Amino acid sequence: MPESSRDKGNAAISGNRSVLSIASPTKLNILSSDWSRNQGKVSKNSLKRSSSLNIRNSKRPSLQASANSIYSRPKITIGAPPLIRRDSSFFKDEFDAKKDKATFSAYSSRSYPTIGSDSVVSQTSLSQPTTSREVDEQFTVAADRYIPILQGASQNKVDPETLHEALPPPNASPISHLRAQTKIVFKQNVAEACGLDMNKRILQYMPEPPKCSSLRQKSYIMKKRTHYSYQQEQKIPDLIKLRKINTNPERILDAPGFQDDFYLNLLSWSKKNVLAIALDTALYLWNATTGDVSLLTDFENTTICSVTWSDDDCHISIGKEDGNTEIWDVETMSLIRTMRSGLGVRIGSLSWLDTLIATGSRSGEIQINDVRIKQHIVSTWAEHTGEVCGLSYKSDGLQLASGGNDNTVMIWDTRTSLPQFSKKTHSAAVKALSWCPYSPNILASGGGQTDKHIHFWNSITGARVGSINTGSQVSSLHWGQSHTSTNGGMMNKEIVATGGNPENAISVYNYETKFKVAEVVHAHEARICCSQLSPDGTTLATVGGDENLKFYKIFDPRCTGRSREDGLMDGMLGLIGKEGCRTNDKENRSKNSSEIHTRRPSSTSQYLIR
Amino acid sequence: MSQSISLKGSTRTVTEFFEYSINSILYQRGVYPAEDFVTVKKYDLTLLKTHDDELKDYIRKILLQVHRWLLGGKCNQLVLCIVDKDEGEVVERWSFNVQHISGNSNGQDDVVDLNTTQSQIRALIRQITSSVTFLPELTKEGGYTFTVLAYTDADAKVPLEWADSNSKEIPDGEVVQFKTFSTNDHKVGAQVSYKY
Repeated sequence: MPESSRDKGNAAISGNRSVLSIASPTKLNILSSDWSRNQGKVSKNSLKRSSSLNIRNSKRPSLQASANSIYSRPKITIGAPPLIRRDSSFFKDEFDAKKDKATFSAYSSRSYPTIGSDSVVSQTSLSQPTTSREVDEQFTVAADRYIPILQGASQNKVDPETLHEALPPPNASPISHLRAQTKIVFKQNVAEACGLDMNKRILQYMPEPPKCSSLRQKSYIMKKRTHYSYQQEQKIPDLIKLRKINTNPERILDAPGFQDDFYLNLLSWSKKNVLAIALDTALYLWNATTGDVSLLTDFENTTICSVTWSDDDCHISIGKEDGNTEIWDVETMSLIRTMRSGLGVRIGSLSWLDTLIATGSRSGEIQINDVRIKQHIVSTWAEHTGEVCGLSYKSDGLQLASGGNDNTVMIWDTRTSLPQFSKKTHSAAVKALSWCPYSPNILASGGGQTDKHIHFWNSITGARVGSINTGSQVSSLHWGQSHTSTNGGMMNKEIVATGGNPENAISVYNYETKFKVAEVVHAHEARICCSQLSPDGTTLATVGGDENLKFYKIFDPRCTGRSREDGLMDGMLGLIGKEGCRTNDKENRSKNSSEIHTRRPSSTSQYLIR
Repeated sequence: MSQSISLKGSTRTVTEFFEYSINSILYQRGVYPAEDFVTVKKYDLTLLKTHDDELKDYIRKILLQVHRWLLGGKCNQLVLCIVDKDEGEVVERWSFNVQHISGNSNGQDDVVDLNTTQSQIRALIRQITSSVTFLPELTKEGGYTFTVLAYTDADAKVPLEWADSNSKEIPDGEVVQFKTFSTNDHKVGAQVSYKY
């Protein structure tokens, strides 16, 4: 039957001389033994394909002969031959015969003797527009069996874009038809080899199915929990976890007669571990090492408004209600010098810079006193319009921070007596001021009852670099540190704030994240007025309106090696510590303040030159 | 014209069936906790349907696309795989194959009565529901999730959310064939295969 149909075809083709060549003798491309087996049954494909380079089968003489003709093949003869539709009745019988055969393996090419001009090879069937899919497939399969041999290397890649591309338009070049078909054939090859069906895709809906609601709930709760627990949450690696601090005071001392006044600074803790506290008119010293209490002085009719240890820890300055500042030597328990501000109002804040004392008065003046000279008032800065209740020299002595009852924080350049920055961000009196020991140009300031905020300032640029809402007035601020055990002992910079209503709490915040990491609620029964950090930086002494002095262990000890590098402060402390040892020697000790200077020329000049 | 309407209606029936069977399977097999489901009356049966918005939305999105494919005659199988979360292993594979019979039989004699369809669906869903009795227990509570596969024609338009996959067959799994139901245009069969 195939034979006869071929004859028919040949006859028809020879009539117009074109398709004819289809049956060129070259065509036997046997790729697999399968095909060769089928060879006898299937004959039709040869009609579609006119040529091939028969590299493999070069033994056949007929193939060799036709090889020449290939080169001329891709050109379609002018006066294109009529299309022969594969589903036309012309092929009908062949189709029927093959219907049930697998498309791919069923066909094999046969070689036919060329009829007519052997060089004219028509591509008619290639450019046929194919309508039915089935025909299309048969066609392509049959036509291009040889192509993997011929062009395999360049055609092996199946472009995913063209994977489902139909054949190129009929007017495209024969080459592009050839390619398109090659792709399809190749795809089919691969698909068959993998045991897949070309016409089927298995698609998966990719989005994850939702978690069940109970799990969602759980994970939500867990997230909330990790916020306050030690568990490390993957997503927020630098979230600082709640620290455990002992909410019970280590020690409670009675402080009868302590003035419950927000604006006064009545507590000071020296580097030699002596705590000075002013109780109304008297000043008491409590040696934290031995527990001894001694009365330094009692003014009897003048209340004490501020107390500050000098940098050498042997002298203490006392700001009084009448505007005088007294300097006492704690070794001899004697008054060294009285400095009169001449303002007649109380001195609520003091800050030492070596031999200089800055005093803040109720009327808003800041006076810089040099304890060595007779005319001790070096300069008077009258920029504040309210009582100056916070004063703090930066550790390098170049800047002085002051806070006043006019809700203003000022940062002064100590050399120019003009405020570098004047910040009115707070909405209440600013008493709490603290310079950061780790990055020396960060200043923390805390506002009073109506403000309740801690602001962090860059003292170089004047920029506000952070804020914390504490929920209560901030009466004092101290920087500290903790070490996370999990994180290789990494230090967390923290700041502790003491507050008033409603909780009278001691709150510890992480500086980086501004999260509250620890808290002692109801540390006092009334608001906390003053607090001081112990010399080793771990214990906070707080005194409140309830006339109690309590000691809380808040921070981890300073890592000495590191802080020595970090802060100039510590370098200074070391210096002072040595100085302190020296001043212990009674013979060297001098009551004359000018001698203090002579004893410490190096450190003084260090600060002053700067 | 009437043909297209009936095709739409038939597709809707099939999609609806998918929705209820997916919901029942997820409930019956405990993929989602029982409290996520509420009872609804459907096919004269009391069925359970999720009231969890996220899950509802997820199933809706899948079925919307399946519906589109079915309309175009591009989809011939929908598979629901129950997957072990820890191992990523398919433990149960519910597959629904859809045969499009619209093209083949235009004859009037093929018209399926709506009631017949309904009762066939009812029977099928009953079978699915009762399959818990023989399916092995899924022991890990909350340890399972599911994926949906659709077998489509090669030329089907594929939205971004869908990607090619393997068939996720269970090797050497036990297979249980369920009943079928047919509408005018579709014949839907179901089977479950599971790890024995």
